[in-house]
Amino acid sequence: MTREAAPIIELEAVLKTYRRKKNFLGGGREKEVVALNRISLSIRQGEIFGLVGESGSGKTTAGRLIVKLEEPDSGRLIVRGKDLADIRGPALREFRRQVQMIFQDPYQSLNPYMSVYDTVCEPLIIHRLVPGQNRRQKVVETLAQVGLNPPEEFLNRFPHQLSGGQRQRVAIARATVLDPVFIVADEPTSMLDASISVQIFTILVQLREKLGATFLFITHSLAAALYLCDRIAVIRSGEIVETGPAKKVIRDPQHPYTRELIRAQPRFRRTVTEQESPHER
Amino acid sequence: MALLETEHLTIGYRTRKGLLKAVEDVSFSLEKGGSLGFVGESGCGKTTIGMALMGLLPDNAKVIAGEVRFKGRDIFRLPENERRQIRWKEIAMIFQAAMNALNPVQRVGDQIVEAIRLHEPAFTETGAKARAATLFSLVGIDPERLSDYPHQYSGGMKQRAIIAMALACEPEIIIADEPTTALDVVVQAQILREIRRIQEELDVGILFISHDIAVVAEVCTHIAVMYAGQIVEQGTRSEVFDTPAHPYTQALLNAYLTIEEEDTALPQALPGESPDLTRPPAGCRFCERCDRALDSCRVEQPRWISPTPTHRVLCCGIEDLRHSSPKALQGGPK
Repeated sequence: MTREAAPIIELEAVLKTYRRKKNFLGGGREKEVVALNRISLSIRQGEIFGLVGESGSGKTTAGRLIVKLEEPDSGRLIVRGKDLADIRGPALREFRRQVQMIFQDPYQSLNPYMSVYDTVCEPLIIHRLVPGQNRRQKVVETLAQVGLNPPEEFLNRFPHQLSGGQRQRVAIARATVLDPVFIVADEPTSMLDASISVQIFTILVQLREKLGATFLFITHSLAAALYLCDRIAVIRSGEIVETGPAKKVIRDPQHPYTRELIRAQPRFRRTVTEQESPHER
Repeated sequence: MALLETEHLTIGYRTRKGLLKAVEDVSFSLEKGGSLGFVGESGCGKTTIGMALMGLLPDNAKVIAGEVRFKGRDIFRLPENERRQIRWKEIAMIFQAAMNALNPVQRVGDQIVEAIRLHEPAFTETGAKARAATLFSLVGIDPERLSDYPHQYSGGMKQRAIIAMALACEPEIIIADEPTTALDVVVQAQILREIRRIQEELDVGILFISHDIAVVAEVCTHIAVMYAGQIVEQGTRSEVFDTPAHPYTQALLNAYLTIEEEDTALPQALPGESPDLTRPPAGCRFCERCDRALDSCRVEQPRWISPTPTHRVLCCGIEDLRHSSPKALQGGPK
């Protein structure tokens, strides 16, 4: 559907390293950890692009760079043809409206002292988008859109009164109330049960249709990527090892690491192959 | 006589909102060397069962009814000192993310030696060390690594060390509560393979608790599906996963995304969420989310139906079950 679409966000040889003290008392030499090793990728308008990798692969770092929560050491992030580093002032403010992030853990990403209404309304106030008298209406509509029905019943609740699935819906409402064009969803269901995950995935797909938004979907799950994404990139130790249409990469993996990931997926109908596993050293 | 027999186990938690029955009328048995997997979503009571078997329930929890017989003895009626003899020596547990419980400032080997000598005072220091080395070989870690500290291990190795510790006293039953949930999928596959191999080699019984049906399917020959504190379906792996009869089991299988699937359209999401167990529904606990619920399901307690002698289902909406062919039952899964 979006094969021919123009790129909305491109990463060009993006390098990101973190420094950490070698010694836990804060002394010692500094050690450099390369989170992203000059990665390049291009996300097209309207697609759900999956970034698939295991813990520590750098996938979350890539998401944080794209929403400009962090800056790359070198390389460029290009948003609709413009270098993100050159976007400043009102244009940056507009970027911050258009690009939103859904975080992994809805138990941590919501402020426990803010009601659902305040949580979802706050972005509208910050960006002065909707006149005061219409804000409530906008919040109610957005809550309905993420399946919190009836919305009025949720407005005055606090996070501790919500289930994990409901919290993540609130987090999605907060991210979408500004009608963003690009949404980074960082493992949005890894804290949730399988039946609730499918509910959340369904909402993301509906949102793409309603908002026409582009998604970067960050996940450790090849299966989720297969169901949700148009194209995926497999990332390991800060390097992208394989990229292509989700079905093609998973059905016909080219890189040994992708093959290893696929082999390791737990599955139902596989006859158990007994083989000695090598000692781990 | 089965090694472990649990009958009508009911466990409640005192909460601010009143008594919460986290486990209700749960019955199952485990044969020597057998494997039983408890699968269900958060809050279904599966961890509470494990904790009760270990005698490690928190202070606000209480066994309200039922009994658990280990080798014929009701463990809830044993004095605490006999209970302690069973805990770890006969029934051991691997906790979720237990690898984070290793003492960071003590060598891993010393921690295992300490565990062995605490429970088996007959062991000398040297003897316990030799035993630790044997255990490490068994779980696939080079025994030389016994002298390392936990931070020198990867996550998977720490989890292997925890498994070695659980095996230290040669228990007859291991309760594994989400033992691979904190691990990446490649390491998870290795650990699951290891657990299967050890189980066969040592002929130890396993109660495996997980939210991930495919993980349970890899390790266990028998499956119990839990929903809102109750077992709703129980049987052999093939009965439960190939011919699931309870609408919840079918929905759970349906919601499981797998890369083997040809049709990659998102499955229909199961609506709603689990009920609040401080105010459980009058009838079937699943009926609010069930597309086959009858009016009677809302008020009547569901009954057990057995399609085969080893397969049973807690549901009153599927009366004609015994008469339909297994094929016809395959509503949800692919």
